Amino acid sequence: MAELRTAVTGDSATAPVVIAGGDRDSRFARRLIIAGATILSVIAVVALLAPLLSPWGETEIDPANTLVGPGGNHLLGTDGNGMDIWSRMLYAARLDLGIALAAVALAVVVGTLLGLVAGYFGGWLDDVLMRVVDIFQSFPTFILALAVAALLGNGTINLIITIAAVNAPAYARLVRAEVRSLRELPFVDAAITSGASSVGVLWRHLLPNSLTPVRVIAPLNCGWAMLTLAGLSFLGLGVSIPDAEWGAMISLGAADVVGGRWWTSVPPGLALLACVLGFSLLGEGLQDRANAKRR
Amino acid sequence: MLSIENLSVLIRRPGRQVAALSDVTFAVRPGEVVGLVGESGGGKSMVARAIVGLLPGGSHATGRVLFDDSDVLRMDDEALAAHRGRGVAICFQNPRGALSPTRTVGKQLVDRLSTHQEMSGARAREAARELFEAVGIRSPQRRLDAYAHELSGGMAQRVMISLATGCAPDLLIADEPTTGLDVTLTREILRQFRHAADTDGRGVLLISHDLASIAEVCDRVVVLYAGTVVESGPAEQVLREPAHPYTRALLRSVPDVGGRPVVATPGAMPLLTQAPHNCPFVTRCAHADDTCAARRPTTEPVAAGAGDWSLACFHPQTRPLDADGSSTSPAPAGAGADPAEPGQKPAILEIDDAHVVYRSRFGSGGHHALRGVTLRLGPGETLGVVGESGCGKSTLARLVMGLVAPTSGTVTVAGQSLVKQPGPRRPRGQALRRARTRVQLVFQDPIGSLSPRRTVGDSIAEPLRAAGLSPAERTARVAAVLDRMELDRSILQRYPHELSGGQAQRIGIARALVGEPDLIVFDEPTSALDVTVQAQILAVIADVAADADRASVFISHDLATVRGFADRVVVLYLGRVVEEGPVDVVFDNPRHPYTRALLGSAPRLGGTTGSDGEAVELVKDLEEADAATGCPLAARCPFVTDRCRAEQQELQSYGESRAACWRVPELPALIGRQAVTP
Repeated sequence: MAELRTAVTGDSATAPVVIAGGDRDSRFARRLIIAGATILSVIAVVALLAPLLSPWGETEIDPANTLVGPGGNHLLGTDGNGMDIWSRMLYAARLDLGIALAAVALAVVVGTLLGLVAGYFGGWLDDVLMRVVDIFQSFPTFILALAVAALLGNGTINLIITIAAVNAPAYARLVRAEVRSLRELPFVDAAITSGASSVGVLWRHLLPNSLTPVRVIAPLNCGWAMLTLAGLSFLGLGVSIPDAEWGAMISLGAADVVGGRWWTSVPPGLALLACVLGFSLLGEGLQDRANAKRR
Repeated sequence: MLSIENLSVLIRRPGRQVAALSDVTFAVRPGEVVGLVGESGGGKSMVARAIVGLLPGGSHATGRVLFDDSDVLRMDDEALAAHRGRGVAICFQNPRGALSPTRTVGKQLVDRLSTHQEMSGARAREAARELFEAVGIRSPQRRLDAYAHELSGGMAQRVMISLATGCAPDLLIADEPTTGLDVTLTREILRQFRHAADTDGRGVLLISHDLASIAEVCDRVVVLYAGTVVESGPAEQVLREPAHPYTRALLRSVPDVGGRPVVATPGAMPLLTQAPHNCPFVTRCAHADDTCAARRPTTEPVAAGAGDWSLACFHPQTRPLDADGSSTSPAPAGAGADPAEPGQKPAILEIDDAHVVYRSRFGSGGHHALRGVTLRLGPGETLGVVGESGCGKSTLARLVMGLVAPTSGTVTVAGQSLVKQPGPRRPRGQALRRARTRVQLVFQDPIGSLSPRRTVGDSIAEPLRAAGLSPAERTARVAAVLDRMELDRSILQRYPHELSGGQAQRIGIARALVGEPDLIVFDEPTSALDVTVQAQILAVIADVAADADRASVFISHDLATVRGFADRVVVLYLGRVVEEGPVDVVFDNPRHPYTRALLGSAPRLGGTTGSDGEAVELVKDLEEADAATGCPLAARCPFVTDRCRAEQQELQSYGESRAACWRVPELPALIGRQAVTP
């Protein structure tokens, strides 16, 4: 990057004065996005290729070798049931990524629809929808997730619904705010006076334009969703043994870690960390880029 | 005092490079007002930034910006801090945005005085009060405790000027100080700058896109085009006999209240990536030849003994401005058409005693935007609507479009009602959507009125969707309207942010036209455009408005643009029609004091303003006025009597026009007396 030079020589009139800066933000944002995307692609590839990369099956038990340390037949050792940590960690990536992405997708769809309708029509509809959103948002997210998960019971679909339910209100609010400010812009009046129906205005004009902040928040949200999922599983309300899931694995190994057998919980913990970090970097990068563009 | 020598600024960012300024040379002397004019992208603001040492990141600057013999470009931070404030002060275009919203304006001024002038608190406050008084702020003591949002635009700009002059800078820079202000205020604000130069001997650099409006107060003007100085010289000479083809194009693009036709110059300013090797105006210039395309003209004096009048052109023009162009210009569209006779054909637009009140969401208050407007418009007619900001122009547009319902009274377009109102029933569903497409709006903000994530083709076809046309028919209609707007087909796939303002406005007009509506409302369609582009768009609009079977409403704060092609004109003031009549009658023989004031404030070429000696000067800024009872103008009118304050004024016929003022017959005498004893 060019340095700010204060020329002092007698020949100063001919030397160009260079003002530094101007592009730092966007370059930094690009690096964040690349870093996040790289981490996530590695994890995604590993998840897809799990059957090829794992020497043991997801729930395959090696009864002779329970709680053995890393090395030998078991790259990262086994847990108390004799299941291979490395293999389960790879398989768990499928479930964790899958549930988190599906839940966020569902949250985005539901939240966006609610936000669009509430923001565009206003009035009593807006009041009712937003009060419901208020109720959801007045509980700490994780407590709410616990309650919903306990209500719905276990199962992959139920987990997706639970995590979507706690995240959708934020999108509803975000999109509603966006729609309310977009609605005041001339292009919406232009659409109305051109004879567009309400559905047309919402679908063809407001929806595409209100998704910008959603695109920034959704990746960050995937990280949170993953943590919620792992937390629920850790507490026994999410994915249950023997299905492989990082939070459940950490929970299963928690007792053994105390006994010095770190390999039961630390590897899935690191995998979870990497994944959440990937989503955070990507989200931050997208946010910075959006801000840089706005300026 | 300020001497800029061969200043070039190249801005390098990843992926793009812009030659913002190329070899700019000019000077400002003490006590002199220099106007820096040109269109956006010409480098005006970059010059201002260079002078205060605020070049943007990625700039590579060569040349010198000498201020009292030290080079601003090469100052260290400490010297720069002293230079800003005491040496140079700047007034920004958006004064309310440039003032801190959380501190009172008095505090902000006192801060500056105590920092730069080392005044003590009480003395600074006293000085602040005097400064406010000096820039024409009434009851300055009270205004010191006001926050920025409590001030009107004109008042905020006055505060800005007092902030800038407060530290007694040697040079005052004003970046578009009057853009966004109403005509009656513009002159008053510009006079403040002249005053600063005359009484305190400051240098003033006045930056503007509008040569005609600032010419009155400038000693010299410098014309920028694509980062180069194309012409500079004494304001009077440059304005009367501009020698550079670009300066001439600039001046002829501005509509004039006197009715002089606008001459459009095709093309747009190029965005240069490196310093030009030829004349940057070559592609748009009628006099260009091979020399212009091959070499860049050097800056030479226009003639021996012409003072410091110089220009960069191989073909200097010598005729006075009015002589050329008039033969090539199209006749004003409205004038040529048969005067439409309302009553014979069914009216397209009928507004009957419409009031619009915007309810405030909290509490019981409300804003009374329109107070009893009655209008009738037949096919082929073009109605001009003029007035200052806040007069209800935009509300009238929204009312006609069916975007806002009248609180009382009725509005119908082609016999149909677009809003829920007493009387005529509103159609529903598909029928309502079709009815809506019969009246179309062309917006003030051309790019903002296009959906950012839809292609241009999609936007133009929008009205055709409601009409239920097949995709093939839509394509054909869009293609036809695109040809009329002289746009290339390739533009259909583009997105709004890829368009220039002029292109976007052509798209906006195309969208309005494509469904062949009965009525088109133009809501300030050119106020966001550059001067030469404005002239191009006005030509397009004049053509569209001349269509015989369609009515048009042209809304503008700029009287001159309305004169170009309206048949009739209404003057709005605080939601009421104060004068109405045939356009030439109202402009040549205004009746209402407000119309007289508006016309008197409008800039005219040649440096004179208005109908001399007959101009009415309003006594206060608009937002200080209160229109609860009586004549709305009572608080600002110099001829106000008790009867004006008490009595509601109705439109009465005076000759061919109608005005809402009972003193019209006495006015000529009163104005004459005012001129003698100011």
